[in-house]
Amino acid sequence: METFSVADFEYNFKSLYKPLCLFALRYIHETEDAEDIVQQAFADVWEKGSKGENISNLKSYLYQTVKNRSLNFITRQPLYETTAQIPDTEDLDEEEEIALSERDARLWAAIDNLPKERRRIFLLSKRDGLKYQEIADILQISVKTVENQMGKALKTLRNTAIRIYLFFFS
Amino acid sequence: MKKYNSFEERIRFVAQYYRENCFSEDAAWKRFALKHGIVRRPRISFMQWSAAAVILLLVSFGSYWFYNQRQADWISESTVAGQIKDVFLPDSTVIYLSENTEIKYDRKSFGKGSRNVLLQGKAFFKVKRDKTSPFSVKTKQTKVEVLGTSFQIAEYKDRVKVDVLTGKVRFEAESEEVLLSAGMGAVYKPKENNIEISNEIGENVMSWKEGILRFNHTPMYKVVNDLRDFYVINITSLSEEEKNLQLTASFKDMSIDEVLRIINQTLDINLKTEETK
Repeated sequence: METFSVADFEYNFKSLYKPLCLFALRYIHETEDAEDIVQQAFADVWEKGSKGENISNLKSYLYQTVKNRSLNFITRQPLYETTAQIPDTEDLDEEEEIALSERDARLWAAIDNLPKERRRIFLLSKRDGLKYQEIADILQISVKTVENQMGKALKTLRNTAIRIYLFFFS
Repeated sequence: MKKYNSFEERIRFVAQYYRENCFSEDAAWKRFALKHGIVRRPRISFMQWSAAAVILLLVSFGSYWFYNQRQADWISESTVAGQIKDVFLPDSTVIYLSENTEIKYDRKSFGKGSRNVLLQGKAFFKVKRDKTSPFSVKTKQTKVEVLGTSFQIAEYKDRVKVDVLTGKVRFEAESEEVLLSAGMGAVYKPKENNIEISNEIGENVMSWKEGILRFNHTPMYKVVNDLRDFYVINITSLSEEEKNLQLTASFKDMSIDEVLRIINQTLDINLKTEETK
């Protein structure tokens, strides 16, 4: 059995954390709940590692655990059943699911890295669903500026996405 | 499937949940580590170790080099009471040290654009001419700068005396500086913070070197000064008339008592030694 290294565990934790959170978001709809579930999934792995149990495919194991815990979470919460939101990626196989979540995580990180004002405009449009005119009114800037900023934000995000595609197909 | 995978759809999906500072790996790891009691030193990668090693190496070599450059390699020559000594510098300058004298120079920087010598006591310098490398002698309170010349510096408790035999020197003390040519002398007295120039130098500037005191129609006040310097003693003061009496004589390897006896007999005066203060 491989020695259980805390350093390796930390590395895996940090590189898989965000994609797993975005994966969980496809089943549940609160970021805090998603984070709790991912934390619990890692806790499972930690306990197994501490006991000397070996997990052959850590990534696959974590996605499976997050999926099971998320589905469990939904069924325990009647509130969610009424909204009847069936996960929208039910027909993807595991590899595609992971790839999709990793891509979403990259987009998330790309939004993190947008300049502050541009991010604000982007979120008002894409998250809050405001029209450009409404954003211009709120921020007291011209519609042209909003368009300009949105164009730049989408370009940045699209480049992020393209790079991932290239990587994926190469 | 195409639909879920489209860029617009993923943007919509991600933006819908996006919150600032959410899903931060570092914050999440801290939370996890805290809960599970994981204490770990920050991970130091191979690259970081290498960078640290390189920096350490550069710093060590740098400081070693810097230290080595800066570190003076002092050569010092000195005499004890009653001893005189000839010192030859690398540039073939000659220094005659009088008793109780020390000179110091930095072997590394000497002759590289400058020739600096530190002096404590009394010494005669025969400086080799070198325009590219000015020669300077520093005492505690004064500095003498020359090109090529011979001169003497004597440092006493209350004064510094420079006598120039050939060439020119620049004599600096505190805020003052004077140019002295051959045959000129100057005395700096720190108490008065003043440089006094004389246009003649005594016959006996080099007496300590030769062991001979010569006087040729020399007024007695000068004779007494030379005796004081030569024998390092004090002599009873002269009366006004006695000061201007003239002496012509030469003394070689004689004790002060013998010398005074001869002078007293010759001029019919009564000089005595006094306890040095």
